[in-house]
Amino acid sequence: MLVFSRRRGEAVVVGDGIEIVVLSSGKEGVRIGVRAPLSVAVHRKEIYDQICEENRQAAGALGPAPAGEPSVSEAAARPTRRDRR
Amino acid sequence: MAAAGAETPTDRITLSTRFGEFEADSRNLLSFPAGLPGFEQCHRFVLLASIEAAPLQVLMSVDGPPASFLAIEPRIVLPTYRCVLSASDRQRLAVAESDTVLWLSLLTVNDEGAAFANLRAPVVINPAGMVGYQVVPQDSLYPLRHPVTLD
Repeated sequence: MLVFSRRRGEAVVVGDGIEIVVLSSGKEGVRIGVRAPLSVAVHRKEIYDQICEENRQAAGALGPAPAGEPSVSEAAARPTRRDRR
Repeated sequence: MAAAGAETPTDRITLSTRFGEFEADSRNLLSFPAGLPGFEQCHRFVLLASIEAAPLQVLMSVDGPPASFLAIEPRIVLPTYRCVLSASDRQRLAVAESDTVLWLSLLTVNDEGAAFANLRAPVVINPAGMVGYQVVPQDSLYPLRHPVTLD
């Protein structure tokens, strides 16, 4: 992990046009500002993780393919030809 | 959306599930450039809907790890549901403020068979562009698990 010491008002630039600024720091924690293009998603990690976990719990609606059957990804990758359907 | 048609066979994608095989028209594939949180490698989905299953639909991945989600329009679960897309969300979906989008809440079903809709992070689909995206709002009044009564 790249580690920086930053004072209030100082920033870190990541990639193209992403800027992370330290707004203030104190006993309550560090306030950070993120300036990023609209196309870049910025999330609080714990919220994103919660939604990941919820999605994982929801993901088995149609279940895995039965043993021996091709999985969804294999079936999709393989060109399927079903002439009489 | 994955209704049978008279397309050439190469237009069709076979989806294997524990309920048997389904076929989908490749022109009905929805593009999810960012995948879904936790399923970032799933970039293409089909939305399966039938009269029998309504109002439930199934959002099924056709690439990446197998993933299929029961989904329901959040306003069926909560008629007062209201969520606003940010400028960033709209850019990702390539929609203008006035464009119509399709909202879906993914469902979890617990061991007792009780269903819950994720109203906090709705999946939004731009039907004209066939692009989808799961909104992860910074602040939402809606719960991750809203109880759903299914007949």
